[in-house]
Amino acid sequence: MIPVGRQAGFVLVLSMLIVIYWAMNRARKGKAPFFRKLAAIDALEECVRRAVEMGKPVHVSPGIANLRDTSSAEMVTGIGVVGYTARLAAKYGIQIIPTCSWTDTQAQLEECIRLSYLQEGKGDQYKLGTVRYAPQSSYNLMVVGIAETEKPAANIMIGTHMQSGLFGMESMRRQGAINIAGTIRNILSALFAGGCDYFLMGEEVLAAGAYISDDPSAKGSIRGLDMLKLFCSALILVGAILASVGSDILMRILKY
Amino acid sequence: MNEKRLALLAAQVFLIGVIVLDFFAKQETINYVASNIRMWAVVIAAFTLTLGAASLGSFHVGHIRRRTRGEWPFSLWTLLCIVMTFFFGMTASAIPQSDAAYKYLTNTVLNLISTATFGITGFYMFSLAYRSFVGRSIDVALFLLSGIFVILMNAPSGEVIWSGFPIVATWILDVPSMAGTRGFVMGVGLGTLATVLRALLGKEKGGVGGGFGG
Repeated sequence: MIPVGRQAGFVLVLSMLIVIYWAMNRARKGKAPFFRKLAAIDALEECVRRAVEMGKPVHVSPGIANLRDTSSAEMVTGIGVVGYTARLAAKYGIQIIPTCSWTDTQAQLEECIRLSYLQEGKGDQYKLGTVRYAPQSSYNLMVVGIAETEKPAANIMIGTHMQSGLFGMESMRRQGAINIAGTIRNILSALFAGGCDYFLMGEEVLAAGAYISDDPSAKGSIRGLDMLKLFCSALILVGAILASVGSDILMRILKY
Repeated sequence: MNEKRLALLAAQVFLIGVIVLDFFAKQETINYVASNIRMWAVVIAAFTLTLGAASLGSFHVGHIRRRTRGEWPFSLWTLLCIVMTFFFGMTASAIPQSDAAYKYLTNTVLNLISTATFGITGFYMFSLAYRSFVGRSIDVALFLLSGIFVILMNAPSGEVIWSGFPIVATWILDVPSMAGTRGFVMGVGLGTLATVLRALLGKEKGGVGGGFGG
């Protein structure tokens, strides 16, 4: 059923999923891993409090992708951050301006925000249509428009961002907003590193979902991830040593 | 776990399982079911288009009804443009004039605005670079130095100023930058696996089922 050339990959992916699941189960039984502080996520509450003091809204966006392509993992995390921000907004009673550029993301965002308000016991304050949508071609200008007209106190862009991240970051900064951003794209990470007050880089974005979760098993998945990183690093090291002595056995196994 | 949630979880495990298996397996039934699931996803996503249109409409109609100062004329213009484009687009195959009008709108309005928007990126990059390169730490110094080398490698005048610029910049891109990128990509790949598993088990807040309350 699985052709030669894919078998090693299948076994590896399956083993990795098992390791992550094992780590999640272990954490659920009370051995939760230590989590170093993610300043960008801790600053979300600071942003919302700042917005309360200034009487201004907070702009939050999970990015410009949809939930059906290769960016969906990043989008799911971004939506989780929007949900967490919505919960804080409901708690402190401020307005959030969630934006997106795909309608399937919009539907998911609406549901996530509704659940956040319900969780804070303020379901009556949630209004359907909170999320602002603009197609990808005009999304950047919509974000600039929000910056110019509504002057948010903070701009949170954790998720799939490309040019939109740059537009959002610079236009919001002009209005004095705090910028928090994160992406798994290495090219944009350099821009975010230079221009944001707080930013998440690479896998930190994907770990954000576990970080904000109250569930210990979600946090446990990060321990599984660290174990796999050690395994992959060891594999690279062994591969390099074997290649240096002229052996291609590891390559042949991985290509199987 | 209640029955509704269990059913949702079972459906998720089945659907994602089939899609993952489709990547690895060459089996007619699995490949056929997976291609159907992908098609359903597109169809379901198409339903959400009405939500987008309704959201866009209600936002701008709200501005017009409230006569929001400095906003409502633009909202009116936006709605007019949407209706116009929708009308010409829908009737383009039936009425030749509509087709011409649709092409005119796309070629002479939308494309020009898109190009102008893209041009703004340059200005934002400059302002961002200026802020990024101002600082008195070792990190900023390294950032500035590698930035100068890479910019001058790409600029035609760089090689004229000093022939070593492309050599140093290529080394920066091929060695330290590549090493960092590979670590970055490995972390992202494994992180994606963990996120998918969390979403699958309803432990991810942004995933289906919300993950609220574990």
